[in-house]
Amino acid sequence: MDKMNTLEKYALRSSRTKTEFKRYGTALLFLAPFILSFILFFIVPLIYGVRISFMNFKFSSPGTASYNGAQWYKFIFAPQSVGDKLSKAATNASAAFWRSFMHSFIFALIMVPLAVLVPLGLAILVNIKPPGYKIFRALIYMPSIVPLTAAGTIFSMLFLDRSQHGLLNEILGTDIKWFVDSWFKFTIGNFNGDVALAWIPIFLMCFWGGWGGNFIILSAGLQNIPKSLYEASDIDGASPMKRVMAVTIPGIKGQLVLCLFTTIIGYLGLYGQNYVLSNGGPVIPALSSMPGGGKTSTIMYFIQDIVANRPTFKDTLYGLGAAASIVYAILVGIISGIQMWATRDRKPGNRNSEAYAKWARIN
Amino acid sequence: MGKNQLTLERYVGYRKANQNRHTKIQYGKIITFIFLTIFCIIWVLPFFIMFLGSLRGHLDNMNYPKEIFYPHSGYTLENYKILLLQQYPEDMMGSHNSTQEYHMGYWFMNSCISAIGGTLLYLLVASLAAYCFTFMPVRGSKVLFGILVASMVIPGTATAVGNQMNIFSWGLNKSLLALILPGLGGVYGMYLIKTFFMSIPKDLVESAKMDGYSNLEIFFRIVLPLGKTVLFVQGLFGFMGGWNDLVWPQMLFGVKDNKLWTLQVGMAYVINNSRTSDLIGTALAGGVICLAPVLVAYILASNKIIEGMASAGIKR
Repeated sequence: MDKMNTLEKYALRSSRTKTEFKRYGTALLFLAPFILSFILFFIVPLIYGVRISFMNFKFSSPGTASYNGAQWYKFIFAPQSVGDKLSKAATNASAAFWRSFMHSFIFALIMVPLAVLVPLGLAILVNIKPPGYKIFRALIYMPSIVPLTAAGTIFSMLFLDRSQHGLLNEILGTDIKWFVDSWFKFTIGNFNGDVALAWIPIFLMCFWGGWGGNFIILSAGLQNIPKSLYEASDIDGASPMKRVMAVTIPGIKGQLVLCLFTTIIGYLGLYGQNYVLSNGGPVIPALSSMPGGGKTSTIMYFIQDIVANRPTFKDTLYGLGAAASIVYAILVGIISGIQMWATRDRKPGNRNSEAYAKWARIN
Repeated sequence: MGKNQLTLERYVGYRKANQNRHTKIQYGKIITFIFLTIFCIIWVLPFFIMFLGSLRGHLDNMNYPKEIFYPHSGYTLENYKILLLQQYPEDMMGSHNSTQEYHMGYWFMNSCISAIGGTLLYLLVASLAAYCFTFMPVRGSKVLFGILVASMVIPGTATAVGNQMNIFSWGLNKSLLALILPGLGGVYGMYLIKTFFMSIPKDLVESAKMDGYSNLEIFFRIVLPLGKTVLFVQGLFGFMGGWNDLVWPQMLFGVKDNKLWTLQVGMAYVINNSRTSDLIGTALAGGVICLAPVLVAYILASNKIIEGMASAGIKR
């Protein structure tokens, strides 16, 4: 009887008082804070940023800005087509931008395979479950929680000059000026490249604290592979190498793709490590008046130089900063679009587990 | 039948082989153990270098640079005094050339307020939205959610410049709100929370509605307690992101606003000023201060943190 009453009440309420209007109202109330901040801090700035990239924008007096017909994009992509007055500035800005871009790109290219394969190898080792493997797992992940600047203090101490008693120089008895010298020079066509030695400390710092997340995700993926698959491969007489290739790698395909893409995007956005350790330097003399005109500058460093670090650029090149950030965003957008496509909704269970289910049915 | 026979034979062979393999497996475990031990020692070494280096005086730094683990004239708190109290040793006055004062206290508090405050606020806002998307489907909410998810391909860099200009023109550039507010529009956390909420049985919410609970009550009494795990994970991501962020605070607070700097900005400045052998200890002390809260949290809850991170990775 009592239950009947409740049901009746519920039915009444949902049919009469709970009109569409009220439903919408509550839904809107729940959504409002999030949607409002999404519009205010995502949509509006996005449009504003695109607008700024087409303007002669002065940070100190935003009211006086005027459109300049994609001049900043010409700065980046076609410096020779900018008028005579600005052609030198445009050429230099373009050179600085593309140099920074190549730095980010090549660094990501070198870093990504390492930052996926090394944690994968370690995850496989930890998954063998030697005594105390939980402690190993915690220790391997530990450097990844270290704030950037804290890691920066360690690595700048290690790599100081001999005259400043840098620890590595003292131990090895060498006198290497890590943040000044060039590592090697090369020539491709009429382009003279010059790779700074400072990339080594930057690389080590990234390597030390850069892939802990990948390690955790991959080892969680490994634990999710059903044990029976391994037994099955053992029965079939697979060698350990074959077992890794046929069972382990397909079993964590989803995690591998995730790690791959987040790592690519992460290292394309490299900024803090080179800012803290080398300040983007050593400076390239020809580009010293340009943002990001250093041998270890990256694309984020180029943008950040304009919009934050060197106040004079805020009035002269602010639009260029916006344009560069749009170009960078499109690049990253394409990559993460591919990622979304690659990891789009799949049916539960991967090919492997289906194959296993079939195998189990047959036998 | 023939196939089954074959499998059985193989299985028997496998068992036989495994009887002899018992010791071999242990052998592999031992090698792994040794390798991982060596690896972890190398991996953790920088922590000790930082901690012990911060306890070394500037004279030892210059004269006995190799004696890192046991400083020549013993451990000292000199570096921390320089950093926190601006008390320089007498023989060191000349070498310090910073144009800005160190305000470690302010920086630390700013980082705490922006990271913790921002995270809690985001959790509330995002889980409200996630609740609405999961349990209160109205017409159009699916489309809206699709748009939000699609917007995740656009990285934060695209909005940073416009955000910076907006914050400055709204006059928020002298307050910590500027560090907290822009984070509230992030979609990723909401997406993560929603994915988890979807695994909460709908009947539970529906029966609570029948019992006359309002949506707000269901949200706070049923859904939030059930979603503890994902809130912890997202909270962790949010806190780490806020605590480690360097780009956004740098865009907001210039040289003059050095009391509004976060710990990261301040520390980057300290490192820049400390590239000499007598001051590097100061930078290391700052690094210890910067790391300590995160490390303590990690040591206390490392298992939980790792499992949380893993679950977020598996979910996607």
